[in-house]
Amino acid sequence: MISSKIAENAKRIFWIIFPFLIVLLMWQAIVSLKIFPQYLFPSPISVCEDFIAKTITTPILLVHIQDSLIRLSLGYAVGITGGLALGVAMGLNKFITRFFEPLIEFAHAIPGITWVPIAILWFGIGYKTVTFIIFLSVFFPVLYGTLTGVKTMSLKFSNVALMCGAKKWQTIAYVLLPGAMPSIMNGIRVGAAFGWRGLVASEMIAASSGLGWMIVDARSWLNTQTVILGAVIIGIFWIATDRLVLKTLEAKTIERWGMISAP
Amino acid sequence: MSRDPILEVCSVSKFFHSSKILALDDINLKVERREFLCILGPNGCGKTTLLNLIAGFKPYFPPTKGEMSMNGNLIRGPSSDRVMVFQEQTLFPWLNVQHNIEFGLKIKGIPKAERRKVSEHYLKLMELEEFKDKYPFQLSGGMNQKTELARALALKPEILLLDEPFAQVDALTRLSLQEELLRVSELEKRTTIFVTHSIQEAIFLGDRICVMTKRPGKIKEEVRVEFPKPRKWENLVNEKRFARLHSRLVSLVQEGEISNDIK
Repeated sequence: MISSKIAENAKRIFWIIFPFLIVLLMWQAIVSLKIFPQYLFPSPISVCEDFIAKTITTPILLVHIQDSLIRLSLGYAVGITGGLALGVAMGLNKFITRFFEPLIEFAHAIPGITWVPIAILWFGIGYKTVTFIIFLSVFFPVLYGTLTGVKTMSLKFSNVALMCGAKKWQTIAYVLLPGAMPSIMNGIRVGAAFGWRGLVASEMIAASSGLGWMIVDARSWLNTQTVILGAVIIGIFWIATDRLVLKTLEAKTIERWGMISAP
Repeated sequence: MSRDPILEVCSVSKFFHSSKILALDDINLKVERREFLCILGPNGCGKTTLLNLIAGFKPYFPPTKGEMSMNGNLIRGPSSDRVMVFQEQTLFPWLNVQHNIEFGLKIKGIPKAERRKVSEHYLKLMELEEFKDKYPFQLSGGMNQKTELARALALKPEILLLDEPFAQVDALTRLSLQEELLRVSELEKRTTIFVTHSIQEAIFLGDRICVMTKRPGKIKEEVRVEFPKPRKWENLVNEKRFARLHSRLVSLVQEGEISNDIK
């Protein structure tokens, strides 16, 4: 039984690594054909060398990563809290819902990065602008998800809460929020992905540090291996966010409660 | 008729504007303290509407005409004095069996140790001890209804409202659930209003049966059930009086059907 579990895990890990290995080999093979000059088509080895140079020799990459992650955490925290709060307020009050619903639906359709030009004028280049864009990218999907969850929640659950004598805040905390959880999780997932894109895009335009800025800066020096390094790091961080944070959160809530079927 | 009515329904009518249906037409009903009243009628006779009105639940409440009072006080909405056991699944998916049973007590601010004591008592009474850590999606239909019943009883309501609680479970489980309900209600001596379309169920459980006619719902006749409690199915089915009462109720229910069809 234990050995079969090990075999199963080994198989799982193999199927995570194997596709990437094939892509890497093909990449190296194309480079070896020497059809393209190095600055247009850098080799995987040069990307690795760049990684080592930027972490061990001078830890500049770590600084960029740190800056990006701080902006991201800040934007996520404010965006998710704000989205949940307004979503619940709307669930509470019909007037608030009627007023905000059309506005939100409209704003939801506008990508967060649309606001970069004006955000630069308001906040200047740097942390504030990037965080603001991340906030916008996260806020609307989370709000939209919360609102959908609260609106589609069955009347029967709130009737049960009322017959138990629940006060308004108890109904929100113990019934409305957990009941809306599948939809809220969906909003957080979409918001997290949008926020990540918002981060990279706005750093490219409105920052002087961070992964997005590193990529744009490297392009102007024709350091294409750094561009690819940045892309790889972004990919790895997104997968880590998804697997370690989002999937864990889902497994502990809606999956455990049978509100969605486990994958 | 009754000296000590706990609940009075006075000339209550309900017209649903959205579907243009007169669901209830001038219902008058008095329920005695500690009585087990069955409301018997075909599908669509408005019996569920009546029960939801008594519970104070939206979208049924308030009645279009008439009023209802409990212990002399006008009914204005849901309250933990009147607790419903629903036909469909209304357990909170995000709470396990034990926490579902304790939900109302938590709302009332009862300390954890005491909550535990009450829920353990009802888990034992309903033979649910093994399943206390399970989530609702992991339960069978019968277990689910037992948990619903335990949740309602744990609130210690003055009136227990049951809306065809055993309609969704198989025939064999239904028989044992009926016996269990009777056992518990003898033990606790609560006022109970039980809505059903099953004539046998009504005879088995009720001290009194109100027969309702089809749309618009009216109370057509009241029948007293004189069999002593506790009752057992195996004893009851051999009684001549059971067969007589059964055929009388059949003709009462059918008359209603036929006269409405002719109209």
